[in-house]
Amino acid sequence: MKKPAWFVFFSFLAISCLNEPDCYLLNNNVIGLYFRVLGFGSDVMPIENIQSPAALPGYFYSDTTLTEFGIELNPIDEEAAFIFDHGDSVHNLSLTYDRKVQFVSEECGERYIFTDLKVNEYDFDSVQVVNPTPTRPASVNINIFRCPTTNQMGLTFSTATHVDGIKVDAKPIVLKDHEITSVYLPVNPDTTVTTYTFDFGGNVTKMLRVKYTATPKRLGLACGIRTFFTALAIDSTNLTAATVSATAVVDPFVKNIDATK
Amino acid sequence: MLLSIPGLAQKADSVKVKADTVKKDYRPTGIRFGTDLIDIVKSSYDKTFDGWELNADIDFDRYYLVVDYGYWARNFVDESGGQYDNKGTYLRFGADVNFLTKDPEKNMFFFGARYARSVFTENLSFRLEDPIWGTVDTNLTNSNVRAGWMELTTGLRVKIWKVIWMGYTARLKFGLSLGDTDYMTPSDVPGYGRADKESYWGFNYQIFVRFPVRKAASIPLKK
Repeated sequence: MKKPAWFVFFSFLAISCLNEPDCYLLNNNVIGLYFRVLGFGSDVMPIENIQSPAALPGYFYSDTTLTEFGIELNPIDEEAAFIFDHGDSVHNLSLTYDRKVQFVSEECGERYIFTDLKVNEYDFDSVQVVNPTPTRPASVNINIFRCPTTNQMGLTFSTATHVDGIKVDAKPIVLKDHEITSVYLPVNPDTTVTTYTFDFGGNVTKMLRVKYTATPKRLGLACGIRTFFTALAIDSTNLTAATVSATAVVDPFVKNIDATK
Repeated sequence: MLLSIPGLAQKADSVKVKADTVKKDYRPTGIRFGTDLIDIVKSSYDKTFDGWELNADIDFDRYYLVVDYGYWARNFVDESGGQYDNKGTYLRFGADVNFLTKDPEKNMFFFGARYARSVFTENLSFRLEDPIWGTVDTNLTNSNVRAGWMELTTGLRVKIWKVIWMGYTARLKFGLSLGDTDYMTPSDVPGYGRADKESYWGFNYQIFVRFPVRKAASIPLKK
């Protein structure tokens, strides 16, 4: 009687262990894109909209700014093209990838597995695939680089100040607004000192001389040689006050000098 | 000589023979053929599964050469109306080592290993409805996909009545390798299970018929 009892026990054990499929997380079709400034760090890009000619009418993103974001690949095809409208410019990015279908279970249905992500065409300054396999949750798969603007220094007035005009090394620059809280001023890459002359109106003109170290660097084929400005310091000024708050010119721009008329 | 026949006839009551001093005989004593009852039961109540398995082993003292051959077919309809079907065969061969060496009826508690191969074909048809990219009907087939894997086994074989034996085998399957496929990743491998699992537990509950080949030397009882 012992043997039959054991075999009945093991039969129940066997039936309870019959394979049942799990319901997995499904498609890994979302890729991560990261806007960056070559030679610096993250970028904040204005986005009017992002769309794809192959997608149904609508936008992936609209009226926003993006740094790191996800976008869905097309499971119907093995390529996807995207149009980035920044408002004042438009860029295109075309991707190819491998995709395979796998049946998961009656409850979950099918899933798509995306691999071997490649950039087919682009007209950004530079594009880099850092991970050719989309993950779930999404991580960064593609870095999109913009060549930096390295010759713009940020100056901030302590209060909104009326400025009729500004000259940089005796050359006037165009001002969008004459009531200025902050302004980005060009830095001369050919010398180690730039002189800024502020016309505040009413025959009030004041000067600010900024000295710095200018170092040319090659940023690959896309960006060529750019001059990096560091060690910013006030050389001389007759403004009421002027202090350096950031000694390096970076992109995206930062406030380098705090000034008081 | 200790083992001279006349001498043994006179002194049988007083001779103690230790089992471990008996010379090992690796000649087979029997061949077992069996089948997995779980596959039969599962095929009768699970409408998505149809399968069977045949088993055979032959003994060489405490070592057994084992061969299994089976067939699995699966048929699923998912909640969105997609259909998946898969059918194929598998073959396992390997060896077991019996650790009940002193059992006069050769009941077994064993550990073993297998190498397995499978050939299967699968079909998938479904409608993809993507809110961004649109809708498309898809039909895909993988034909004659080959797979291989390893197994570690353990289990029991117990003599129930005369030539009828029953037993179970627990198997840890691992090391799955799949042949290349184009547009569909295999979902299920006959004999193994889900293709996206790195290892898999399996369980067989078997009934055998043993055909004796020769009479094994009996182990004398201690007196």
